[in-house]
Amino acid sequence: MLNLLRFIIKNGAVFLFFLLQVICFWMIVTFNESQRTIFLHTTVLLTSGVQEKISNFYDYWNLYHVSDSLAAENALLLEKVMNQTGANPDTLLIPFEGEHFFSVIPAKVIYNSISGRNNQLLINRGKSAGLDRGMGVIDKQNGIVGITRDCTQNYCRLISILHTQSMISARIKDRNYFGSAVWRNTNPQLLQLEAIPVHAVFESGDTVVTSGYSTVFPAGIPIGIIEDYHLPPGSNFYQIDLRLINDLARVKYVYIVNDLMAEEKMYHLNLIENE
Amino acid sequence: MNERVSKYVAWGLVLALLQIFIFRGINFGWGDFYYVHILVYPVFIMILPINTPRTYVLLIAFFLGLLLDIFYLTPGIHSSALVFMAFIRTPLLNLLEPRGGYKVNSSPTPYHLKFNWFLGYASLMLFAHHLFYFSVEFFSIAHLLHIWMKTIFSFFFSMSFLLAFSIIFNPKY
Repeated sequence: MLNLLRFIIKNGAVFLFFLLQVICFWMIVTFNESQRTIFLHTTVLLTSGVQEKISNFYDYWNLYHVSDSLAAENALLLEKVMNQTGANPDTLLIPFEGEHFFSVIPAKVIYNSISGRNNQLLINRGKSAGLDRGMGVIDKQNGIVGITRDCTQNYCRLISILHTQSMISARIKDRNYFGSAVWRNTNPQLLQLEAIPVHAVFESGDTVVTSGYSTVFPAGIPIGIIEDYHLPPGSNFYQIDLRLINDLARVKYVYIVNDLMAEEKMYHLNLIENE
Repeated sequence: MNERVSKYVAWGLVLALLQIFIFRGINFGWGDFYYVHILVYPVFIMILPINTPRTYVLLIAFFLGLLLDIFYLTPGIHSSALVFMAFIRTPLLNLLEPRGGYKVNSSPTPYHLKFNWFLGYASLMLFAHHLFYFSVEFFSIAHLLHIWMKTIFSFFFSMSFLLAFSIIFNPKY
């Protein structure tokens, strides 16, 4: 400490010189317009590279919030689209005021599996967000992910469409034959479409969509594309291989479709089954 | 000693007033660019007694520069250049020390030393001051050519006035 003090006293003039120059330059860039402009411009030039890196860094951490808000926005738009296509536009159809059949809730996948025989997912929304058993879960507007099974307050377990118990009511688009999409083999890219009768006319490349005959998914959500089909000997139904539109290995944000008329529909469906 | 101090103070004021009232108004050049600004006040820092403590020289330079800055409406620019010149004064004096050293209580003036010695000393000091002054005034290396042009032309005129001053008045302290 004493040495430092001695050093400062010994070189007092040098320190004073730098101190005075600092004061001078502070005055120059504070009170002189053109020098200040140059100073600010230079500072911007020198620091912009660093600033950009810092900004990129913060942007990266903000992506989480950005994608969350985007997911909410997507859910809103999706809801609008669904409720519009639900009511087929017709000249004779007058839309009812406040007609609202589906609500869409965004969620994030926090666990996923595709390699097992009974694959499941976990999402970060639960009963507090209005989720309940038996709701359809879709991946953006293309592709379905699964069906909700057990919901707690904040989380919900899904059974993936890659699950032995999964059975989706499906329809060949524009041909209107309907059947069930199930998962029989172990390829996470292929589903099987069953119960398409032998007289049905279709070809490879046809799109298969949800039928809307259940309370799980609204009608018309694409599931996959017919890749291959054959008629087993002595059977009345085709065996059809269906290539999924979405990649379940990469699903990150999902939308849960809540059919607001589910209870009413279930009442009638149960009546049909019981008869 | 007190008499000497008051004489220096008087000289400082005279030089500052000369600069502010006369030389501040004399700017000329060619075309639309003014290359010549006459700055005579640095001579005050040059002729301070050799044994003046270095920190005093720096502080005197700072406040004299500040006084000029107030009238030039350029806070910091004259002070910065003058403080720089004051800072190189001691090393330069050591470098130019004649054989046998300086006389006690002498000043670096033509009266105490040879005129040629003063010419070299004043040229180096004034050139350093002008270069620093115009660098700070432009504040950008993009104008390097203009900085040098202004420095060289202004140095020539300022030096002429400085020599005229020292020949006419030839301060004897």
